[in-house]
Amino acid sequence: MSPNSEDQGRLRKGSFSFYESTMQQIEALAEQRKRERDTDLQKQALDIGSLFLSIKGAPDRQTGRYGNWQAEDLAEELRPWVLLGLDWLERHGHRITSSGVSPAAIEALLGARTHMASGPEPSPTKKRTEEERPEAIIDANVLSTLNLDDSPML
Amino acid sequence: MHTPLEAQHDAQNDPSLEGLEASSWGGYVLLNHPLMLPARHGGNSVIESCVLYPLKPDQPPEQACIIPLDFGKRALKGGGVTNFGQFKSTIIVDAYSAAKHVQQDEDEEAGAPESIWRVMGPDKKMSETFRCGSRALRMAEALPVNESVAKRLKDVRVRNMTITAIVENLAAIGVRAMIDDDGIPVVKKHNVILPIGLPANDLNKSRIEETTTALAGLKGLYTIEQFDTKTGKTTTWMIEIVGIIPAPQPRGTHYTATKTLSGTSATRKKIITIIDIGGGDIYAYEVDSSSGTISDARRLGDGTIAIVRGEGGLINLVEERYGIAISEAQAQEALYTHTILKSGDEYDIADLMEQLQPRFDHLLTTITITQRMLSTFVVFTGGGVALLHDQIHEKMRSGKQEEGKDYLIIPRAIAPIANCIGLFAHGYYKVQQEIRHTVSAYLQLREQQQLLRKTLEGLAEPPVRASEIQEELSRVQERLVRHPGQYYKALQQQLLLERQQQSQRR
Repeated sequence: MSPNSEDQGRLRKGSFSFYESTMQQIEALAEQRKRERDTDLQKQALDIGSLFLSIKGAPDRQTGRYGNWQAEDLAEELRPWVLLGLDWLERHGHRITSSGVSPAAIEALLGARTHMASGPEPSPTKKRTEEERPEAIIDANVLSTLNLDDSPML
Repeated sequence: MHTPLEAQHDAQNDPSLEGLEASSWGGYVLLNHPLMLPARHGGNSVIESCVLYPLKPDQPPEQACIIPLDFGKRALKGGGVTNFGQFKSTIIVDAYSAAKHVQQDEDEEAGAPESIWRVMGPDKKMSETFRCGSRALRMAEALPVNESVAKRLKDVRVRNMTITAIVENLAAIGVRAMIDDDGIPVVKKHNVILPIGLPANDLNKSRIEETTTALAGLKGLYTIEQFDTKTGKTTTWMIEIVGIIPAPQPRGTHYTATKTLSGTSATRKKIITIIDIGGGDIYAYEVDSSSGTISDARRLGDGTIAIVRGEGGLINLVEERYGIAISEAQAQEALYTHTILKSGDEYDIADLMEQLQPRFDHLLTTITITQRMLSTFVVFTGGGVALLHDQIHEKMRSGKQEEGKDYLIIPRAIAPIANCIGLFAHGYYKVQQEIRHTVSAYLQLREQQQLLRKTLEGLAEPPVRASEIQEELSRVQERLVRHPGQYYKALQQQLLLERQQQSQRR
């Protein structure tokens, strides 16, 4: 349902009147997607946009929060959008990582960055997905018995 | 039926361990069991050649393939592990010939496809077109096989053969030269980590420097053109050798016979003597099982070359019987295949092999089993084991030695590649150690970040100090963002757990 002139006026008089191209984009998307109203899309834009806005600055020194979010909670919300964005870029020929970096590495990057501010890694509570390859770890004591320092890598 | 040695080596046909521990690397490969380790959170993790490796200290890790190479005199034995945990290997006979005419084979029944190669290395010079391996035997040029490793690698033909061996092994483990980039085939650059097995003498004090300098010269970017004579197509490969791990050849057999996949000992034998019956030499090494230290490397005599050379040797017999002259390399290969080429036809020379029996027996007499050796666990390995298997058994049993208890003969199916399997294991552990160091450095940086943050929060005055600390904190954060250690989440948790356990013990 295309926005009528009354709606257009309402949108442009709102607090986001500075971002006319953004509003035009939302209007165009609403026009394309027929079933979604521009006001609904605006709410979604606020929702998703606020997540990215949250990570633009430093957390509160007292509480460690980003606005109302703890880093871990923010990461949970943010991660899927970042991955969607990366996936979209990849599918449209705009790879922003080197060919050697796997999607799993990107996920690990996102996980690591959001844990940086909050100190040691929390214990894993989620089950591993089928796509993730379980990592094998050779015991440190065993590695030390192999005297690998005598075999430097050139 | 004789299995040509220069073929993709898959140990699945030999069901007998013949005294080899089933839990050892050699046991797994012989029985064709996938190489797997328990994963941290349950389930199993496949051991494979391709790993995520921190190539640079400030960039995300990249995929690198661990491709071991046993730098023998008779052949280059290479290997790798597929992403299903299967060990694959190739044996490329040490033969090189320039290929003057490169064309597609029009005859549909001409036999197996052949590769003709060109290599451009870090020197940016494209090589001549060449063949290598058994297809080059008939026209093989003399290569410096009896020289030191440093001298051999100075020869660009040897270098290029080494590079083609790496490519053959990448292909054997399923790595492809090209990838599909949105429908367009693109040449993918493959990073290679090369555990390389060398004669122990090339790693002793007098030669270690020249050897490591020569090996370091192998590092860099290579473009390789592989022309398939059957299809007429040229495949372009790009590899970069990013790391080389030199190791004495016997370390390979030591790990193959005595190490489990997780690096623990598969046997309680404390001291092991490894007798390596190669093409050029027979060597004996004493290995301390707990430390892996190799000592007392002694050359016992000529290897299987002694069977082909001189009067009454295979070269002589072939000339007398068939009127053709074959090279030492061709003769060595014929010991295994029991065939020679004459007038384009393959001739079975099994009857000549019977005439060589005294030479086989004599070769065995050069291996003196001393009292000192008998106080250790003796392991026979190398390509020569496949030829002398039964005779070795007879020799050891006549001295009242018991198989599995006093000695072990590496089973025929994996004897020629026993060094290679263990070299992969060695390279794999070394790579794990390097990754561990990287993650440890990352965790230390994170601790720094936390300390700086705490310091900053606790500071009221003076503001100048605060800005210095803030600057340092920003620098640390910048390094953290780029640090490759952040990509190894499971290992981070493992290291933190280990530190926790250590501090609890204190």
